Amino acid sequence: MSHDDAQRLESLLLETAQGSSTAFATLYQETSAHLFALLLRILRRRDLAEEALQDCYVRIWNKAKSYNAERGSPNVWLASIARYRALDMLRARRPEVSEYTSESGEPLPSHVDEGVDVEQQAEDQSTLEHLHDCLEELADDQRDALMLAYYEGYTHPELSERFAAPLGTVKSWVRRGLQRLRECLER
Amino acid sequence: MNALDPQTRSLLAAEYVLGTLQGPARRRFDRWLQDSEALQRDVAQWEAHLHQVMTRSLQPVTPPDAIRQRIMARIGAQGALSSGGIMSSARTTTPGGRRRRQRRMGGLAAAAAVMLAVIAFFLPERVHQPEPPVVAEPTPSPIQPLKELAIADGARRWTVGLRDGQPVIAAAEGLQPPPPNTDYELWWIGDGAPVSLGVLPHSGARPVTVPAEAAGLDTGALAISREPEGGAPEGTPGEVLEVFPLES
Repeated sequence: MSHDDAQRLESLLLETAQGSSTAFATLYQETSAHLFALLLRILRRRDLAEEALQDCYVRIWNKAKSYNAERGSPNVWLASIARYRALDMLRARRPEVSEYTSESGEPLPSHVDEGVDVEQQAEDQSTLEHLHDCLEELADDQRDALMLAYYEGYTHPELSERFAAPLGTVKSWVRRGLQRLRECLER
Repeated sequence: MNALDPQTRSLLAAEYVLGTLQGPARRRFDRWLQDSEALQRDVAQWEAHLHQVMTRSLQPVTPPDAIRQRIMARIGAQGALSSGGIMSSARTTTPGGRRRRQRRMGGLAAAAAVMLAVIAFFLPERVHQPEPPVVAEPTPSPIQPLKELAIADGARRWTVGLRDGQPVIAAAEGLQPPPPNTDYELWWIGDGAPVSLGVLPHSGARPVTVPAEAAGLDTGALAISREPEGGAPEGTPGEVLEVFPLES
C-alpha cells in the first residue's frame, strides 16, 4: 500500500510537471492538509500560513519537473518546500520579533512551550504509539535545540543566545541530538 | 571534504538539512553536494528522518477552499475552479452518490494513510505497516475548565481549559456538527487584531496555541464566529456570534 500510494503521488507530480492542472488539483486535495498543518506549526498565524500555502503550491506547480523519486518520497519533497518557504517568511519577520524581545527584556517565551505542545499532541495520538518516538529519547536540551532549529530556523549563535549557553555547548547539543536520532532511527 | 568518514559526512548533511550549517561551511557544502551522489543520498535521508520525527505528531488541517481557488487561479487553471470536477477526479475509486463532505473526508484519510505509509517506508523492517489512523484516545489527563463557551442559546457548547498546564478546547458531549459548509472558529481578542485559535472541534478536545500574552487565558476576550467550512478564508473573523470576556 505504501508503495502504491507513493507511486500514485509520484505519477501525479509527473503529470503536474507535464502541465496537467487536473493532476495538480488532485495532488493539492490529497496533500494540502498536511502541508497546511506544518505551515501553521512553523508560522503560528493562520493568515501567514494561508499565504505560504499558496506560494508553496505555485512553487510545486512550477518545480514539479525537478522532483526526483530517487532522492526521496513525494511527501518529504513537498514538506521540504513548505518548511523552507515558511522559514524564509519567519526570517524575514524576525527583526519584528526581536523588537518584541527587547521591549519586554525577556526572551520570547513561546518557542519551547510550543515544543511541549507538540509532545502533548504526540501523546494524544495513540495510533502512532507503536512507532518508536525517537525524539522522546533525547535529552531535553538536545530536543529543544533541534526543534527550534527545525521549526524556527534558529542558527547556532541564535540558540546560544536563546539558551544563554556557550556556543560550543549548543553545538554539541545539536550534534549529539542528531547522532542519537540517527542511532534511534536505524535501530 | 571527500575524505570525510561516512559518519561525519552524514552529520554534516543532517546539520545542512536542519539549517544549523551556516556561512562559508554551508556554501562549501552546497558546492560539494553538486558533485557527490553519496552526499545527495545523505541529504535525502536526513530530509526524510527529520520530517518523520518532527512532523509525526502534527494533525492534518484542511485549508479553506478559497485558498485552493486562488492557487488554481494563480497557475492559470481557470477550468479547474469548480470543486465538483476536482472531487470527482481526486477520488475515482469512491463509489458515486455519496455526499461531497464524505468524499473530502475520504481524501483526507487517504492522505493520512499515505503519510503513515511513508513513515513506515523509512522505518526498519521489523516495524509492521501501521494501521490507518483510527481515533482511539489514550486516557488523557483531566481538563481543568476555565471558561464555558456557548452559542445558539446554549445549544452548542465548548469548554476552554488547561490540561497538564496547556490550553485545550473541548467540545461538549453529543455536540451536533455545524450546518453544512459551516464551521465555528475561536478567536482571542487582545489589543490588536483578533487572533485565530482555530476552528472549534466537532467532538473531543484539541490543544490550542494562544499568543504569549494570553498564555494564562486570563486577559482579553474569546469570541466565536461563523465561517465557511475550514475556517475564516481571510484570517479575520466573519460573523461574530458571541464574545466571552476573560478578565476575572
